Amino acid sequence: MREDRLCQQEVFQRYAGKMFTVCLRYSRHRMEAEDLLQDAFIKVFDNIAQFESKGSFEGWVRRIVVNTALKNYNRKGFTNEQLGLDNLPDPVLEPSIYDHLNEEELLGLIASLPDGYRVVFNLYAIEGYSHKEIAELMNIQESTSRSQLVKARKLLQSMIEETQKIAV
Amino acid sequence: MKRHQEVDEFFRGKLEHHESNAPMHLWSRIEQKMDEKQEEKPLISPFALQMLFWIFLVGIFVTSVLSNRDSGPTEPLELGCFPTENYAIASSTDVDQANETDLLDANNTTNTRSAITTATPSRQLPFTAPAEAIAQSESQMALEQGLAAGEQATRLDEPREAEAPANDIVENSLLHDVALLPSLDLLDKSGNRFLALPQDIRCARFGGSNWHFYTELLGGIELPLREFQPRNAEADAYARLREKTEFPSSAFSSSLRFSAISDQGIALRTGLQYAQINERFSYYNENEQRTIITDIYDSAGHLIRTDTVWVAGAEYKADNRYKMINVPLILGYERDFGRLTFAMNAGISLNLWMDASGQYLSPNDLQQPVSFGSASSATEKNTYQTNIGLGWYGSLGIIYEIKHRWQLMAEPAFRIHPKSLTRGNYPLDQRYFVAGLNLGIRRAL
Repeated sequence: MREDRLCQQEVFQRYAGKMFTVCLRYSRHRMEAEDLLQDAFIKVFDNIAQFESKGSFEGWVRRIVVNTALKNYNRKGFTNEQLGLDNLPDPVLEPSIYDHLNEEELLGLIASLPDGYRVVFNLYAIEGYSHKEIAELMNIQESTSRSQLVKARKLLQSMIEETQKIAV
Repeated sequence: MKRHQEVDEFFRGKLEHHESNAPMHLWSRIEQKMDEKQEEKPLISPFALQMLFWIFLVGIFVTSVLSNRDSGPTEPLELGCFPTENYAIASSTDVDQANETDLLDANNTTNTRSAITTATPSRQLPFTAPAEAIAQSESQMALEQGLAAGEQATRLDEPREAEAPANDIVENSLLHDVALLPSLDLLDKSGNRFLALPQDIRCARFGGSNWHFYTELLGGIELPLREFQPRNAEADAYARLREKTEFPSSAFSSSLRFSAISDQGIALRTGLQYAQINERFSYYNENEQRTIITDIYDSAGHLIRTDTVWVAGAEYKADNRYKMINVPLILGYERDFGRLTFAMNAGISLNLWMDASGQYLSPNDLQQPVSFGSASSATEKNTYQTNIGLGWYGSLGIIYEIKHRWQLMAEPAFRIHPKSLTRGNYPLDQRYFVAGLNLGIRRAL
């Protein structure tokens, strides 16, 4: 399998779309996401013999993509971003406000988050990791993970509110 | 709180399974990168290169030892007095060297004569060199003149002088200082031909080296350095968990070695080594809840009540042990400075047996400690290898002679186990580098 380029290409074509979304969620821009996707798929093909066929292959590939993104993030160094959001009131959004937002716009909003907020929000809200696991993965305190998540949510909500105002 | 959940759910719902348009040119980039990686792969792995290096080194050594053995006798040949017929003691080269010395100096001739008169034919040493070269013209002349002087001495010397030990008489003679001499083919009183040389002359050595053999008993404490390397990307977190819950505490080793050391200082060592690495497993599971039920009795032994206590969190502690038996195959060099000898050694450490036992966090449930080793379940029993193959060994040695045949040793050493202690199906590689100080004693055999 490892040496079989046709099979590898098929794997790439089948999962590239979903995994590119994952990469976009963890990246600031499209070029960074492309680099992540490339590195992740090379790891997938290098380690494909390690896949034990016990769980879903897609889940395995996704974990490799997320781990690659985390490694990339840790390499850059964690900076405890402070944007002075502590005093920002929680925006009150009508449920209907979400209706006009499509996936590309949501990805754009996530990409505009500071690095730490973005990673914590992705891991917690979308991947389903607990704060303890996030703390382990990112080498930070659990409390830091919690506060980054709260701030990420606030920022996203206020950005959604802004887009609503512009739309109106 | 609800609003927070709404945001999370909204993003998750929209993006969890969303497919973006991945740029297909990425595939060609991936292909290119993978091709480059394959080209970068060395034809010979670093491990194979190291093996080749050692085989080459040992090959050179064995070849040099064998060639020395072929070129001459391995035992040094001491010159002395022994009867001769048509044999000579020196090769043509030796004769040439000796010809440079003026043996026929008048004063020395007198001493030589005295020595000759008292020398008794002896068979102290075997002599097997074929007769050759002694018939060279200059040597022949010297022999003839010496023979004449000897005959004269036989006639003229006093009996007391004749009984004096040859060794005393030649003490100051030129012969004493010359290691290689042309033989003096003389006649004793009975008319037997013999070769005369002083008994205590510094012996010339011919041919290859002598080997000296030692047994060495060493023991010492070591500092183990461990590496956990995830075998796939998803094992990163597990590797970090094991790093945080298992702490190398101590290590020790003891060895019984047999060493062969040549006159040139080349040392070959082998034997058996027992090594043990100790680690402490310590884990606190804050999510675990334990129920403790205690029965309370009165003084008459009747059950009064039962107390039930729920304890949040559980602490696990265990001593992990990694035991090994290795066979070191070491090539070394020794140089002595009086009673002190310095040595350096390098070689391989061949693992014959390994046993691991203790506890670690399960790779399947990161919060659950499980036992590994012989007392564990079938799955965890097979986590560790029973043989980890080849390792590398290096050391420096200081050896001090305390009395005849007995020496004290101090040997700072390191050992590298490049192969993982875990089996191939386990998500982590576990390797060790061990450095320590061995102290011991050795005895010449």
